[in-house]
Amino acid sequence: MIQINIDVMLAKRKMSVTSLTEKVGITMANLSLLKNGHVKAIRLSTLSAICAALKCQPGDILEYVEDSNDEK
Amino acid sequence: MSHNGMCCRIRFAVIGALLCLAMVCAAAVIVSLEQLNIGLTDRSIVIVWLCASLGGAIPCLGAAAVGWRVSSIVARDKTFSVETAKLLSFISTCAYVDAAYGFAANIIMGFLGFQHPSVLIVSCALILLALAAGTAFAALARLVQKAADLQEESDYTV
Repeated sequence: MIQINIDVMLAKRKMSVTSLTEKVGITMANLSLLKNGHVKAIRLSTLSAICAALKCQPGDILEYVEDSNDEK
Repeated sequence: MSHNGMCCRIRFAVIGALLCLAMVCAAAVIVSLEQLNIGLTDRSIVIVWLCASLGGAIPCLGAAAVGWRVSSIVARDKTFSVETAKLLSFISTCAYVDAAYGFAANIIMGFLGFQHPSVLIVSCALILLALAAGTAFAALARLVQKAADLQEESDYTV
């Protein structure tokens, strides 16, 4: 599964979650779903907005983690 | 059409179906009592037919109860959900059970010699109707399941 590591970048940029939601244009609930890995898909526009807000590359926040569901 | 309007329509249809079922059962009881009073038919035949006819109403009552529940879900604007798909599938099962029950009852009545051509024709029509309803609700349940999957994917897309 793809894990989205926003907390690390938020800490590096010293930005709050609320500030990130305002810059990206998504709700706190959606950002919480993103952080907890409950989302099924992310739009490229949202990913682009997150990278622009955190001044990073997609590879900095996206990480592939192996789990049993992927083996099936 | 709003989801409340759809809920009202479904409930209206359920109430209408229950009224029709009640009238059919009442007619069966009245005709049976008339047959007994006049003495045209053997008492045992009338009672067996009456029980067989009223027994076929039980799956219909179950389907009506579940249909009312579906209308409540529609009123809450949660039409495309796994729960709705399961309820529609249950209604389809009730229709198939009713068709199978009607078919078995007619076969048994035929072997017992309690059958009449006019009753057989009406029974066959009702069995076909039940089979058509069962197939329609099964297809609807499948479509609602697919829609629920798409809805969930859409809800969890950021």
